Amino acid sequence: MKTNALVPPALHAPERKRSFGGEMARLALSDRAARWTSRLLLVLVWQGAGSLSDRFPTPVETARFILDEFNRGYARGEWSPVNNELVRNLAISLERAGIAMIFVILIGVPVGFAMGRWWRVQAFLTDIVTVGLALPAYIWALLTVMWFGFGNRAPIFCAVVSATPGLVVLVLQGSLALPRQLRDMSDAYDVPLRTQLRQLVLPSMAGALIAGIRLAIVAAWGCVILVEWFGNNEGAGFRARYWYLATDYNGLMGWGLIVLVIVITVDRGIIERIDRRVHRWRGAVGGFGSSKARRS
Amino acid sequence: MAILKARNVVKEFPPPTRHQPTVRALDGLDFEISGQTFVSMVGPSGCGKSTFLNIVSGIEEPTSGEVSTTNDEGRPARLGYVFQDPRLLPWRTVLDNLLYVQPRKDDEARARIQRYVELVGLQGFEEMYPAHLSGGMQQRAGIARALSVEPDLLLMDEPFSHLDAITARTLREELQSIWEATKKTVLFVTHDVLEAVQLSNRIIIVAYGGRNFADLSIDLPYPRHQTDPAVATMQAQILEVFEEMERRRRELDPRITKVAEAAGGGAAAS
Repeated sequence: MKTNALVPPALHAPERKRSFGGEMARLALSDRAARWTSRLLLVLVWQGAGSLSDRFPTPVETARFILDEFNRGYARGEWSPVNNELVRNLAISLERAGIAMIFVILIGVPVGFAMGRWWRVQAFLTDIVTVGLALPAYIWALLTVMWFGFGNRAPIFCAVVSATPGLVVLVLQGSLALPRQLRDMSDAYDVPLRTQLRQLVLPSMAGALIAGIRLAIVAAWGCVILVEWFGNNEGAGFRARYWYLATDYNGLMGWGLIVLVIVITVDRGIIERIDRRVHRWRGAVGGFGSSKARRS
Repeated sequence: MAILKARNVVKEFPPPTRHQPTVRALDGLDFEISGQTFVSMVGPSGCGKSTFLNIVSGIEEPTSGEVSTTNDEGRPARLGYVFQDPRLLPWRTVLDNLLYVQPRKDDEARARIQRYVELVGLQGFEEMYPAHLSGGMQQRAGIARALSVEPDLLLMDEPFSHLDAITARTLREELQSIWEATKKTVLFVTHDVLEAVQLSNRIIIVAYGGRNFADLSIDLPYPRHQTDPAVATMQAQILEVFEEMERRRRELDPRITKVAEAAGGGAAAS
């Protein structure tokens, strides 16, 4: 093809045929092999630690508990695939974290952008954001439990006030790093502000935005669980505390694992995919734990 | 009819620190450019050439004076701007980068873009991201972007200064052909006298401090090459104008002469 003759060779390098041994060696040294080896090692260490003490549940015991929790009807009601202690409590926590994240994004993104855009806004809000960052999540959790009691308001409010400052800071950094030269180019060509916002501002801030949302999800999820632990009658945190009070180590470990799996699933399943899609122009994505992380 | 009028343009920048004086980049720049000409602004680095282009394009406002652009229909001229670096959106393909600056993103704009992509020799690379292109190809994309808005006035700010000598030479030759084919009015900023002589039919020499120093007409036939004896002769004549400009600057500012003498004396002593 005429045009392909001009394409740099690296973009069209022909696939080399590898021998079986070479293929196995490549597989053994791949990112995927490294990740699965690490996971397997973690489970083995966990199993080993569990065999040392009765107070440390093994992976098998934990998995058995999770299965049992799935088979218990929610609040002793009739069992169904969606009406059981595992799914219902998890759904309640996820709903709270989801609502909180909507508020976090709606507040954090414009505030962070405004702080980067107008120095007066930054001067006004810097101390407030610093206080928000410095105040530990458990203080917010205890305060919101005292203010709002049981229900949805306490976990949602706590998650919003805890997670928003981190997102604000990252969006602020992103908006400060907006490429001035590209803005000048856009102004010279009279590109409408809406187009600039969509095609220049958002993509150039995407890295900071995704990193901020990633951190905010972890913070918000942690807060929801904490508030449910301290003062609530439903949700994953409440259920973990229930088993803690019953001195059931398997139950506590089981819910700890469920909480962890949710965070990892959201991060790898949603955020990392968005990150990869948004940054596909780079040719490689450098997200935390990404198998396609840059190797240079 | 003048497509660009600059009347006594002054541009001052606030001082970098409180104890330093205001920086005056342009000090009463004054000229007109008529249609279908290739005009080069030549001057030493820091004489305000790029600042002037930024004022023409609306990126910056003059402190005083007036800059106006008018097309044949009496309306403000449409501008195209080729920067020193390509300034392409790295997350958009070549095609999307060219679409980004179009007032209307319709089929007509796409056909126009395709025409200019072919004119600068980038056909087949439309769907590539800038990172996959060489510096020369990125600059070609920048030129295609500027041409694709069908500008009444094309501003070019040292567009080849970041490129290697061979690529820059090729692009200069191509720019000549494009200009001869389109006859767009071009305001080309450079500090390379030879480049200016090769490309332009008029050269405005800007002195330190952003003042007019000379306005020269280059009546040589196109296409021109840097190795043409007539181009070399013209370059030598213009360099003499530069020497005169430097001599006057030294006369006006005795500190420069003293510093030069001190440096010369020191070298002789050692």
